[in-house]
Amino acid sequence: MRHRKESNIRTHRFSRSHQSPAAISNQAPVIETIEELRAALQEAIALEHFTIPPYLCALYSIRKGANPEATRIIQTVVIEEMGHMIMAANILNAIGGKPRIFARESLPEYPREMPHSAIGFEVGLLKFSKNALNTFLRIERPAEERGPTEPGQFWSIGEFYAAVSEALNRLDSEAKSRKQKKGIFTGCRPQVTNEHYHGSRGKVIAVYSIEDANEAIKEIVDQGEGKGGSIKDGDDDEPGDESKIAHYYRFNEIFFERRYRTNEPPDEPPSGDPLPVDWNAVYNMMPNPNLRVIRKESKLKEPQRSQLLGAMEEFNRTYSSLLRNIQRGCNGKPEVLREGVPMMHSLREMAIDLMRAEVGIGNYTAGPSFEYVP
Amino acid sequence: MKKSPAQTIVESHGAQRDPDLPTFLELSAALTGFSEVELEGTGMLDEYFYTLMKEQDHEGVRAFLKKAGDILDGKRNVKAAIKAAFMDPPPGLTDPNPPFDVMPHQALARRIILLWYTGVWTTMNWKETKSQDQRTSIVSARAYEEGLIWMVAQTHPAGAKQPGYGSWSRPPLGADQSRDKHGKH
Repeated sequence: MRHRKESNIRTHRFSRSHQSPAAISNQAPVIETIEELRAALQEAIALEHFTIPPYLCALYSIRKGANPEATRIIQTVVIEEMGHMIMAANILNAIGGKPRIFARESLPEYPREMPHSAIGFEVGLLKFSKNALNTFLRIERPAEERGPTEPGQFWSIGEFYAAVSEALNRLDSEAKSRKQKKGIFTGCRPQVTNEHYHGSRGKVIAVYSIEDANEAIKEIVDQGEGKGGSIKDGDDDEPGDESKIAHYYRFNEIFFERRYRTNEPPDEPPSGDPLPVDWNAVYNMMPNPNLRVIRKESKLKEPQRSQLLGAMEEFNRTYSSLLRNIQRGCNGKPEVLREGVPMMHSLREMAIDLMRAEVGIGNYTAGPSFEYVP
Repeated sequence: MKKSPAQTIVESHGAQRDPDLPTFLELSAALTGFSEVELEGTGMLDEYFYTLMKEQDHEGVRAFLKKAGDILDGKRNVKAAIKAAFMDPPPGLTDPNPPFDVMPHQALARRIILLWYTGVWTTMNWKETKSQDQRTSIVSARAYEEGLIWMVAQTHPAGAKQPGYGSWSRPPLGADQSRDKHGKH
């Protein structure tokens, strides 16, 4: 919908710097070189990664057995986000870059400002709640025309990818016009394929050419925001399948506690069958749990205090191990990804255990903090 | 959606917790060798406390918890005192595996250990009319999933908490760190 207008894209100057230059740039595209394109794809990986911990906190905070429909919706979204991260890494790998998954900057302290967003909003680690859903809707919101933005900022994730896509196509045809047969797709390390992304119902596109890269980006954007101004995500799934409408609209269904009808217009709230949500069947996880805050503010006595901090650290260690594993997988060793599967499952159990343990701050419980452990 | 009745109960229960609940948690930690945070992490604390409180011998249960509370608050070596009070057979008793009904405090302590590890409870209610087997049951489906036994064995309850495709081809997570839980006592 309304995003990816050619004229718009070219006003977006991609910049890695986090300062906000006052002037609005309307120069030629700023992903000018292959290095800048690689940097942009690294940012795309970080952006996809950034959304995963908040979605997981909401998902795991739902008490077991409660809210089955909302649980399924968030689950399908988070699995697709993981797939998006892998596909961004695949593109980067294919153009000769080295995807970084395990990096301090990809494990930010929450809450944090949504990266590259022109709207400017905070994303935190919150239990399943209307508040959390509101944030999720903002993350996945399709762009509307809102005029130019500051360099490196975008109205939506779709626009960010549009800038990346434009640069990919331009640099690739430039390279091909210089008689480089493979264009910019010179990376020859193995890609992560569907086979390595086993059993998750997710879909991963291996990238060897500009056509594959375009398909991967289309998949990412359509799944997030909807396909060309509709609620559908472009996948041809079975009717009644959660994953056939885009993330934004799936979250909207939870928010409004109602399903969309087939082909409902995207600018109206859903008006189909009720989707019952019990907002109270949720562990009372404190907002944005992190070790520093809990060390400072928890009124727990010893030994519970050290036990809790220890359990949180163990979660962080396992999460860091998982990211190291995914990083290896995305850098030419996709077969190791299988070793990450038990870690993911164990992280879920650890997160739920934390969400059931009192944190000693108000009547909240603890939660996973997704912190970087070198 | 309005609060479900069950949720209202859980919340009001949480708001005014039974004063013996913290004692039950602390004692459970001492008896099982798991930390209080780990026990809370199972999410079974309220349900297990409620299971204990359903015993008709209410006074007996309260007296048991009072004794436990006194020991836990004491300055003495708590671990040794708990063992002496609740785990060792009383002097003069020769049967190494006496029936539950012989030593109320020791028997209750053993029940609590089994409860946390396996989710199974043997009630003393209907003792006169039913056999021990008939009085033994699994507390709930969740109790089965959350048994400590799975953690000790570094595995997962069959049919629940799946560790994921292909996990059988790898050593259990944390196996190399050999966190020997049950070696604590």
